[in-house]
Amino acid sequence: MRLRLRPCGNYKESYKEELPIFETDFGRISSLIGLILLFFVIPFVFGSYNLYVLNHVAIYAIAAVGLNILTGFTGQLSLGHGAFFGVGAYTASILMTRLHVPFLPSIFAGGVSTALVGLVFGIPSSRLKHLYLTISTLAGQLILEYIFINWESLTCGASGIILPKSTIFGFDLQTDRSFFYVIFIFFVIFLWIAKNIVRTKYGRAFIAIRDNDQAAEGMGIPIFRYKLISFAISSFYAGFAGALWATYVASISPEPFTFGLSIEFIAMIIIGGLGSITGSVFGATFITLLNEALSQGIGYLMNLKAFTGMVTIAPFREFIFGLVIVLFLIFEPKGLAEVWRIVKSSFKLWPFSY
Amino acid sequence: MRMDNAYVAKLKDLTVPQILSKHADAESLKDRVAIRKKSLGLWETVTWQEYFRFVKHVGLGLISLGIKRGDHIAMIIDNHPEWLFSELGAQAIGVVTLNLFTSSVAKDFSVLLNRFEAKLVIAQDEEQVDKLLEIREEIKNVIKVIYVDPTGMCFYNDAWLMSFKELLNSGKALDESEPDLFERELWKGKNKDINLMLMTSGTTGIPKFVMLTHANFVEMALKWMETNNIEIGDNWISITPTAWIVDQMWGVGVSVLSGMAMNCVETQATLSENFREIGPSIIITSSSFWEDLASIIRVKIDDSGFIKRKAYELGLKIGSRVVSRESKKESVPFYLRFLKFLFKYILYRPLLDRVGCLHFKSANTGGHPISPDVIIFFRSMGLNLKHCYGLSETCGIFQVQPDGEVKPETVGKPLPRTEVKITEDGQVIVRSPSVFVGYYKNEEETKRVLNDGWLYTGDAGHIDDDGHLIIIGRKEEITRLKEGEAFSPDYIETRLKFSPYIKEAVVFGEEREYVTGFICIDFGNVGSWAEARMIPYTTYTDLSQQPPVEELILSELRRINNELPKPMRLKKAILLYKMLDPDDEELTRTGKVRRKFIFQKYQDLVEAMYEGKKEIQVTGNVQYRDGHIGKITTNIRILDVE
Repeated sequence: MRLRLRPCGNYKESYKEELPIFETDFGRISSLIGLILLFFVIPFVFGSYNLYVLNHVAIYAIAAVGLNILTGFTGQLSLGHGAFFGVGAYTASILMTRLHVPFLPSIFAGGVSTALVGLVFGIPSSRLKHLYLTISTLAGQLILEYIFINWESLTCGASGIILPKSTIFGFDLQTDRSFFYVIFIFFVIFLWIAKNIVRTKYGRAFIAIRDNDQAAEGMGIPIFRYKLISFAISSFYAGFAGALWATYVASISPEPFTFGLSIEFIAMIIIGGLGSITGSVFGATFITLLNEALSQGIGYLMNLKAFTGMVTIAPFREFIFGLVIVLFLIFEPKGLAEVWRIVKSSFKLWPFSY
Repeated sequence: MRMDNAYVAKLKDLTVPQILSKHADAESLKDRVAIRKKSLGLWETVTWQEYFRFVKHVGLGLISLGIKRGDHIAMIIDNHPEWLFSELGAQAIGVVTLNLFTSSVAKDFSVLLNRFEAKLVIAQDEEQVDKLLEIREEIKNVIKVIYVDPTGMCFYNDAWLMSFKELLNSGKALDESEPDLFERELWKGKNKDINLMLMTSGTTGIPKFVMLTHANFVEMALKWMETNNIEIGDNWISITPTAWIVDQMWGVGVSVLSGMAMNCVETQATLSENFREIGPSIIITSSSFWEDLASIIRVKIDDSGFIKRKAYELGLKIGSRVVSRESKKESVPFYLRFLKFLFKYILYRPLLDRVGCLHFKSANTGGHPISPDVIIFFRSMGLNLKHCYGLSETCGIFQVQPDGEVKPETVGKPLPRTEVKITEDGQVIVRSPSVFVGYYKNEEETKRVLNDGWLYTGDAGHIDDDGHLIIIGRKEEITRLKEGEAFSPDYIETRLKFSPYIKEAVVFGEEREYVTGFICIDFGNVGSWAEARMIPYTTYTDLSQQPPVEELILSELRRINNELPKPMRLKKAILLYKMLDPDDEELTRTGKVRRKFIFQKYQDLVEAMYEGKKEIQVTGNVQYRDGHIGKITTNIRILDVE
């Protein structure tokens, strides 16, 4: 079988041949090389701290992909994604500590339970649109936060839960490297699933609803059902990512799952690119790295003599964060995914420019 | 995988449809793709077995309409699978076919159909049927018109018309009632029989019909298979008109014998896209194809960014250095070879990919002389572009540059079993088993060009020290200036046309002091050039007379003049106010310039260039597409090139 690396001579004789994600073998080979690098080179080259950051990138990316399916593809803005992330984290933690359920079933249960919660909070979408729906998801966020803190018999309230050691198929998951494998395997699988969801019947229905819900209904798409499916899928991704996160950091409290986290997820998909799976990954990477860089940078600045006592520069982080989002909205509203697309098409069109 | 030699040897003495029937029975071949056609976004396939079934049904369908062995049928059809089905279907039952140009007007059809004595016409679509209905009274011989594309045909309630589908169905019905009939008819055929006729281009007068036999096509196919690495499943893209020899020799000859797949594009509008998808393995096409492609590449490069432009310029420089050293048989230094290897992946292959030329094993240009610059341009990028030479009368291309000894200005060496000689007065003559049997009902002309098996081509040429043939031009067109220096208008024109801004050029100078010419600008390229410089224009006429455009063309002419020998340099030129058009009889249907006709038509302009005038007023007639005639009055400036 000869490799087809370029579009020339790549003719299609049946619709089945139109289905592959990659048009040419070039895409397939480069992603294969990417996977080999990811699993066989990066874990051995990078140190523990870098792997820790990468693991966070992947976890947030899974959640961001979920939010992008809901917001970027279906057009339903959700401000409760941070809380959904928390639902998954709590489900997994409670199952593992109280019922001693093993690692794998726990994280999947985290995803499933969040999907159910997401379905409940998606119900208002049958009547509400745009801003009103957004406010109702904000209500969801606040309700869930309230539950995390106040249902102490279940969630241990503000004192939080310490998770036991995770094991998978008898392997101890202790080091960042072993978690790296678990997280990234799921990362790749979920990315692949998401990519396929958005180009099948479901994804097309989502996009139709986003572009014009009345027209979509006129075309025979039951929009309420598809909105709920979108909420469920999105929440599953968030919950699964939350469960992974909880088992990785091994202790949780209600504190991280605030409105601020929801905003961060929104920032990820806006910077990454609404309606783009790869964009969500870019966005998650960008925000996580920015967060890390800022907290390191601020920590350094705060210790400098010149700044002590003058002004408090802790809010500096939030300032930069806001600035970046505004700059992106002004200069590249379609996000990093668009930048990536432009770079890619420039190579595809080489040596012409159109 | 190549066609098995022993298998091919058995096919040698068969007719083309008989060979097809063998393929349809051959285990290794019958389920392979023979024809592809792009339709609704997919390349629909026809296997050899299906191909044969279609041919059978067409043949039987014709019999059921009362067409008999020895009858003639004409086809006015584009490059679709139906063209091959009907052509081979007719030939299978001993019927001779002729392809007409779909762009011809009704009047031409009536003359040609009557001369050919066509009993049936297979037409492409409503447009062609309408033309035929217009001349229905004049073509009494035609008993039926079959149309291929049923779009818009549902309100034509006329027993004279019949759809291709109905033809296939009646063939199928006959096959069921008389299962042996087709095989009987098929094997009555001999390979010395005439299988189709082609029109000559007709630069002078009415076209003649060239009679070709099955043996001619089989022989031509064998020649190509011996000299080229043609494998089963290689792709040919059918884009030249079916009335030309090139697609006939491939569709009826080479593809059938070698097992190559014929590919038909969806529409003319999607041609370049479809071309890229298929990425053909071999192509023979007119020089204008390559000239157009080269100018498209240049224009696109001009529009691209700094890095891309510089990479292209550098790559082309390296490529042309290597090519010029190779053609002079000098050794190529290591660093150049390394750079060429590097640029193969940085530039050449991506660029060839973009224009769909990535998979060529051999790319050939024939028909009209082509500027060596074009050949060097493509060869620099690693495309194996070669000049070839052939005629309808020889059943196609018989003269190709062999791989590894390509010289841009020659048309190479003869294919096997082909003898080429130069007569004393400098005419090229050729003898081979694929030379035609004669012109239809034109003994006189046949005698004039065929003598003792030798075909007199009418082209002037000579053979160089390496045995390569060099074609100078049509023998009758080689002319002399007043001082006696010989010059070939063709030679000058092809060099002029290599400029991306010049679409067509006609050069004069016979018995005069100096050479002058008409230039037709390339409306697309000059138009975008003008747009980029904020020069407003309305029509072709307006654009061609803009002073900045004149400056642009002048600078192009001066540059080209520098490369020409002194007596051949263009002294004065006129930017013609209209495109040359076959509808105005200025070009033949194949796109060749009818120089004598143009000379007569524009005599005032020509004279003005020799009288030293600066400007001349002209009133020209322009025939519009719908047939009515408009008048244009403009002042035309005469450009002093030197």
